[in-house]
Amino acid sequence: MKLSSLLELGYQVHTSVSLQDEFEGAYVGDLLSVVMKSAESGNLLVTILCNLNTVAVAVLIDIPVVLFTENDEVPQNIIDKANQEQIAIFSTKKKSVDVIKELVKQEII
Amino acid sequence: MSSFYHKHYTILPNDYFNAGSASSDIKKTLKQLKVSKDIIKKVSVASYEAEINVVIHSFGGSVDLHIVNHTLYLQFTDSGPGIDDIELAMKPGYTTASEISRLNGFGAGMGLVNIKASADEMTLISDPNGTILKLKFFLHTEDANEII
Repeated sequence: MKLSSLLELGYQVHTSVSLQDEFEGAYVGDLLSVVMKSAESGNLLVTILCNLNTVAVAVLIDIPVVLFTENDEVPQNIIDKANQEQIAIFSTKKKSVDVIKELVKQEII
Repeated sequence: MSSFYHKHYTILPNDYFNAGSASSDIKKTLKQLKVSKDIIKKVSVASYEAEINVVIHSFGGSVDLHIVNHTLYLQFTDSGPGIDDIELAMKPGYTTASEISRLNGFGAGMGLVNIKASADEMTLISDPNGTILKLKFFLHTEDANEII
């Protein structure tokens, strides 16, 4: 699925990563140890943990896109790091559970 | 056939900003060496967890990456204060982490558990003067041949 599909759902994009880049499936989690253990390479990561370490974990396990939930403002240092590492960052005020419902309904995951 | 590769990284205490930079560089190195994806994932997860442990819990330390023949070694060394009870520290969910590490997404008591599950062999030695964590990963023969 293309990153542009997330934009079409109204999620805010913060990075300059190409929206033609793709992801496959999703993982939801806020504890980085568990995210590292269970997320699969290529997944969209849905998390409330808006933190530099989230980007570092995404780089390590080949997560191309992170969607921060319950928050639509992302600090500039996180955006800079994500741009540098070519990780796309989206955000929304919605809750993780509602994001997943929406992604399933739209057959994005 | 024998081969040898070595790289050393310093890990600073409480430096959440740079936490993971050694593991990130180790991952890039393994990619350049054309190590297979499944091994890179296992090494990356273990390395990152161990690096974060040094950042959160220690007075500072380092990690050394060695690749010798068909085996990859990571050795994390720090200068204390040591782990009181290793058996307890290995229990899933047990944590002594501070509020700040929890705010950074860690401190759930899963680090050592994840490390043990990822590495082929793990040795943990600790006293108040410091902790040494040795991890061993067996490379696929074709990976090892590529590196040489």
